[in-house]
Amino acid sequence: MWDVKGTPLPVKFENWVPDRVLYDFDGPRIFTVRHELGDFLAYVCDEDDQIARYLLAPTNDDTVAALEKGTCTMRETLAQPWLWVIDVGFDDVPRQVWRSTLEAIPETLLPKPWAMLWPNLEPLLAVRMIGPNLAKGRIPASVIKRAVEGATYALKKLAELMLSSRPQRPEQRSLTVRHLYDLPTQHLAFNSFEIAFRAPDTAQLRLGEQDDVLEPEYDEMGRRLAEALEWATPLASDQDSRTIDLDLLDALKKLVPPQTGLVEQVEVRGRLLRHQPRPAYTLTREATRRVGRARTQREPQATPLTATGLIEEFDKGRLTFILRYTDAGRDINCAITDELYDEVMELFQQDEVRATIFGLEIPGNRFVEVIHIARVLETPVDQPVNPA
Amino acid sequence: MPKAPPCLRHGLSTFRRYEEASHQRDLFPALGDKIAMAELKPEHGKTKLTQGKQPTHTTWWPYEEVQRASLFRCVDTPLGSNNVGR
Repeated sequence: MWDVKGTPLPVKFENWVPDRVLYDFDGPRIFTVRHELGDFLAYVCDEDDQIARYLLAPTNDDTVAALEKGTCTMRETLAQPWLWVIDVGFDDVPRQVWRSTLEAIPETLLPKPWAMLWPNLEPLLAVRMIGPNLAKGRIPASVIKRAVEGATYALKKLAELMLSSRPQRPEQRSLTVRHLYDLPTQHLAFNSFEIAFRAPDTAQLRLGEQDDVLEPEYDEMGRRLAEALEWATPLASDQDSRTIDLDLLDALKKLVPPQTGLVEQVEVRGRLLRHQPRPAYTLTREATRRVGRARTQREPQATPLTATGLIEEFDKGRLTFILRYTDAGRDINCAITDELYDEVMELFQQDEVRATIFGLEIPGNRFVEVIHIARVLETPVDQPVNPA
Repeated sequence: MPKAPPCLRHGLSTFRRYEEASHQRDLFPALGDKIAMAELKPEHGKTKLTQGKQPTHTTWWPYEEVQRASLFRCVDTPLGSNNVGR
């Protein structure tokens, strides 16, 4: 057994017993301890044929609740200002206690930084922006924005693809694309910078009380996500002649790391990938170049389009509307991003206000991608504009 | 585990899903970084779902003559994995 870096304590720590067992595998491995010396969270970090070595971190009910809800990881729960290392014989009698810190424990014996208490708490999707200069207190807002946008844009594209390829079950009529990409944030971590999303509450989506009602949908989205990630991160042995769906290429475009700047790699993992060939993928700048080359070669040439008309039939789930009575002489199907939602909603609710859209018309896509929208100032003919 | 039920103390813990074994590997690196898979048949012993928060945790009581290690092979992807032991 390895040497403990810490101060031996003259503590017997007798009469210690698990209070609540949180993880059991060949015996309790994570549990709470209520003792006259304090409340602790115990974690078995190592064992041999003589002893089990525990880390005991001071804890309280709120910390344990956060661990059980998946809002903090196992390692974060152990990362207290101090902890005890305790060797316990298989007769359950403590033999030695040290005062130590988490930093003094060998990295190979600690839970991985992302590991949650139970498998069902693993985030649906976690995106980690990696770079040598990304550390707590030094994460620019642009990196956080990129992590959020990269994940949500990819999820949106995958959700659109999935919903267009399979009929919605009757009990899922209230389900929209937005429900599948605008997910609740489960966890933020500064290793380098990571954001994790969990599945939405199905009861709130009016899909019933059962938690796993969307599992087939997530599995389908995970399958397509893995297809895209496999393409973007070919192994040395892979043939480089594979092609990728344009929709999947689109899903990747905001997920890959930028060619310059603080983010050098992006790691993607989560329950979405649970049945896929790899549980985690790391996108490097080579993946960015690969995506860029493919987009240049394969994406159809977009044509700029400007038109003025009235916004009607706004689908708030799919973020689409129809621009009618246009100066182009035709109705135009439009798709928007989240950023334009409020603007479009306001114009949609004001029946008489005309809007000018600036967008891109892409061959094969029945929706014009709206980049900017402006309201048209209507000037009644009998009231000249005040020059002031 | 002197206080555990004697019957459970003589069983071997396995998972039926790769992701549960993979999660445990991340949670307890000291248990090793390999995941091995086997297809257990009636002639290999008795199994019982003994799940708590791990939905497919299964205890296996192998028959005495079974060569346990020879049944398993290491896997590094979830594809095709079922009955995963650690």
